[in-house]
Amino acid sequence: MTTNFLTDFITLLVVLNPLGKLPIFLATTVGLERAVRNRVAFHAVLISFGILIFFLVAGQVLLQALGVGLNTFRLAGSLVLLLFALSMIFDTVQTPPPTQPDVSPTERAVFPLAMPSIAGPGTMLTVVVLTDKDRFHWAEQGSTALALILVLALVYLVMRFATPLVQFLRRAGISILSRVMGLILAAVAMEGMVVSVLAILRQL
Amino acid sequence: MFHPFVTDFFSDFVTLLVVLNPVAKLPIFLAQTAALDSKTRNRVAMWAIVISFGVLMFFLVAGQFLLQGLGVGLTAFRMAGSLVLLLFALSMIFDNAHPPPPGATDTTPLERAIFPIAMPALAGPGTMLTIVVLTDNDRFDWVHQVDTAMALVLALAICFIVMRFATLLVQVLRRAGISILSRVMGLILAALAVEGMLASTRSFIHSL
Repeated sequence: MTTNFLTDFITLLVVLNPLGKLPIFLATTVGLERAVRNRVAFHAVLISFGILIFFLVAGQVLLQALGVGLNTFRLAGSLVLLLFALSMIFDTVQTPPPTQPDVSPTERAVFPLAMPSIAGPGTMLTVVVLTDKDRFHWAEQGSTALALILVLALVYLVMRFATPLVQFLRRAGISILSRVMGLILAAVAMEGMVVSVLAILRQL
Repeated sequence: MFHPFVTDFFSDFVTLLVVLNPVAKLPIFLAQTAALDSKTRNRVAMWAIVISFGVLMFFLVAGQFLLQGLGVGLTAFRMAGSLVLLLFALSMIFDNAHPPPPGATDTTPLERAIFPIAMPALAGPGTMLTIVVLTDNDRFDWVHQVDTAMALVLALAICFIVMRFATLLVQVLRRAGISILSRVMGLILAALAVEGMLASTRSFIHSL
């Protein structure tokens, strides 16, 4: 039980990569005041938790009912992740365009923070695999859920501490950090695509 | 126990309903009609269903001849269809679910009903393909094909009811809720599209 919890915790920590969310969070909340920024962080973590718990409980059943294999889901998810990483590398840091001042904090929390960054395809897949209904009974699945809560709390803390970093890094620094992280994320996505393609080829 | 007419009808109906997947189309409908009043919204829903029905009936009757005439195999059609579906799913994930910009306020309800609700959401490549396969002229006589057409009518009626109820959901979900639903569904749709591409690639390789 304890080792299971630890394994799940470390796996989720690596996949969620709280530090990696920093540049995205900073880019999304550029130009917002401190209180609003904290609200965005809180909403993003809360929404991510909701989405991930949904996948923990119903993800496997949903994918099976649709006839989608885990490898296929991983391939599609990695593709989405790759495109997102490319946009991190090539896009200019987004300030909300003047025509859309009504983007509410919750909407910023949803995109691009909760989806596809925190509760991204990689995390969803990991949650589904870690709670495989054929291999784990409900107590183990509960311990996975606990590990998830702990990791998401860490993500929130990182985003809270991000606020002083804004003054320190400025826009240029955020831009550099975002692009470097984007490159690393692109590599992670390619890895996922290669692994799932290999698994699919073996089944042929 | 039941007449084959009944069991065929039921299996065709379930297949079509799964492929049409009305609940998954809700975010598209809601995003497109976010700025409209409820009367116009219902008109968009009605138009979308009527247009989808027309397109799908055309494919039911003529789809197989058309594809055979063009020398396009069902496998190739499925692969192209899955690619379109994948790109559409990606746009569901990455696009901002904002109402159309002020420059595009002149899109009529009918235009919105056509794109993207009727095409490619409802009468998309997946549904077209399913219709063509379910009414394969070499395997099914015309009675069975009429059976499939009736199942299609019922499935589209359910899509319409779901879109009518969407008006209520707008108040419950808000824009953020629609955005979440749309992106999660987009990811699942992307997985379905990749599944379709893999399946068609597999049968390409086997037919070599």
